[in-house]
Amino acid sequence: MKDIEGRSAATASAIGREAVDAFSRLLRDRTSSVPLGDEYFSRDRGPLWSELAAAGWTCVADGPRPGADGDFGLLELASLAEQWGRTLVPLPLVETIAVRRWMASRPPPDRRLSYALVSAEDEHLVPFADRIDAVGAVRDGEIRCVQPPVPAGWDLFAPSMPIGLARGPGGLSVPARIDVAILTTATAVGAAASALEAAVGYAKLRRQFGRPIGSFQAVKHRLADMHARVEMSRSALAWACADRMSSGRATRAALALSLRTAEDAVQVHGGIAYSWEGPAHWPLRHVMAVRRIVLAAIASAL
Amino acid sequence: MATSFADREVARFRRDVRRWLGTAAPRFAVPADATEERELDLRRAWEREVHRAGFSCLSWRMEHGGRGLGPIEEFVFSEECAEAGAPEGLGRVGRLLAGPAIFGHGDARLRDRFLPRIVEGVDIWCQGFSEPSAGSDLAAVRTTAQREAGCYRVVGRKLWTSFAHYADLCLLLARTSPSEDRHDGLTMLCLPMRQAGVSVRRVRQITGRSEFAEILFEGAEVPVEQRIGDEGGGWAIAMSVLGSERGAGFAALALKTMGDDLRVLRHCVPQGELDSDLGPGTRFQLLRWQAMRAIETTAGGRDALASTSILKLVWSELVQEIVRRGFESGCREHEARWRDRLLDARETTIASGTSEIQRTIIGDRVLGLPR
Repeated sequence: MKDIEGRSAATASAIGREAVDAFSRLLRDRTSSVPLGDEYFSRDRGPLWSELAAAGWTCVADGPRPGADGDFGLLELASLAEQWGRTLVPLPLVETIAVRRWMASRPPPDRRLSYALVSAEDEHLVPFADRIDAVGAVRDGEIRCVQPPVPAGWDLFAPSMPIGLARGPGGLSVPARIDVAILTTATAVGAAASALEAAVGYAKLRRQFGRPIGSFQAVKHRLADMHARVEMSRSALAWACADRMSSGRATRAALALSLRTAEDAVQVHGGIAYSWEGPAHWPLRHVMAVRRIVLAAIASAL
Repeated sequence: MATSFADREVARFRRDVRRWLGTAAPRFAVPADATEERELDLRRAWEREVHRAGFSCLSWRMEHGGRGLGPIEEFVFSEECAEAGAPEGLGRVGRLLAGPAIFGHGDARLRDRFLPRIVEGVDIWCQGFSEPSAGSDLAAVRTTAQREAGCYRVVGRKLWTSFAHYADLCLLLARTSPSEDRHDGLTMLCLPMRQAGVSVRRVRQITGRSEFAEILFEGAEVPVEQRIGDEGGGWAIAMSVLGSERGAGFAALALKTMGDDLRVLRHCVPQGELDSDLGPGTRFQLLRWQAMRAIETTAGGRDALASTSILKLVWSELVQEIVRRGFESGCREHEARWRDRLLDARETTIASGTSEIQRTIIGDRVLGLPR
């Protein structure tokens, strides 16, 4: 509260909001034909990637120089990442955007990029290691594309974000790691928001005792609390974007809120959510997997 | 009027407010040992000082006597007042509830008569909505206002009314006709408090203090010209008033109280505990950003229901958690404070819509769940 100059906006710019709307419409159109499940995650997403790259969505963070805002600032990028997180599509879009933001020379838009983050176990975490062209890593003082390390193992807990475990060269700069933490957290916020949306939809349709379960106050109030948590997690993202020194605290808070929301979505769906075919564990898995990445990103940065 | 906290004019406005507060606020600081009369005098005087300096009713339109600024400037002003330890004026109900009800729904005569006196801090208002049997179910209001020649004659009882014993006017929701639909027969009136037929009885709270009251109306009169909007149109006005009572303006006030509590709590518990993932210090920051998001959305003229609807629910429960933590810390130095705050804070989740009502509103109106 001490500062006077350089206060940040709390909500995305008008241009950012328009872009987010367009992006969200595009994603809904391209991903709604198949329900969440094994088939959804194993589909060939090559055409979608080409479309996103051709439309410029992979390059939204490319600014005048590394780390500088282009058309979109961090808050607008976080809104886009949130929309992307809603889809749970297993493509390295957010990773590509975050890495490109810090590159001096920019690769072609259709390059699939990721990064190698050192975790506490001295292992490198490489999201989407099996489907990328390069990782961004610090070489000669700036982030460049290097050959992705070959994973020695995998963390396949969340099909929306397979993580390769590798040893070897990697390394991101501190500011890039903070961006990775914020934007990856935003995908978890999106996943939790989509879990809420699914739970609300289900509560309107599912009938017990002759009434839709969403008319029962016990269920309604749980959903209201989930809504409050989704809203607060968006506020946590705004805080993280405005105050990078606090981004570790803010992203951890957003993840804690998102985790509870995704858990509650399972509860609202009831028994159906406990089966593999059920829709509610996919966003929950995503939130859980994101935590591993974000903690590794901020552990060494903040 | 700013539409983003990043606007340059917001920084300029903040600097002006801060410069003025630096000299003005200390002169009106309420000493810890002040008598109630002294405190009231200071708070009343502060209200007028705010007006003299040109900071009263910032977001009201100029034609209504305001500054024609927006919710962002209101929030900044409130934040800076909290930081400077400025007292809270007595005009809250007038500025945030009665004024907007009058300029939103009243005629020109009513606006000319009452708005300048709210802006200048002359009239103190209280809010006459709740009754013994109309709490959460506000449409159950029983207080009647019978039309007689040029006035309404009011009979009934209002309860849990803040500012009642020094208010000049009451924003009164009363029943003007018995009707099939309970929501139809209600009317909003500006009732003068200083008249025969109005008696105020202090109500002692669970803290032992008596800050609010019960008002008894035994044939009190309200001139017909002091009706806001149409006869029978009171429910819609009440709903819009309650909307602002639960919105960002009050969240800013709550942030002030909470900030004070947190500052003390930092002496009583280990730092890491407050700033953990979902610790109270962290959630205070989230709430601040939530309020700022809601305010920017409102200032931009966009639909803010999704972001404002949760503010009251979240701040009220966070206040209680903070004071409970203070109490449980066992800090001897602040024991008396936390005992008092724990009791006092019971009010936050009850007044202006209980948490249960807020959750139902979110479920019904934001999420569109079946009723």
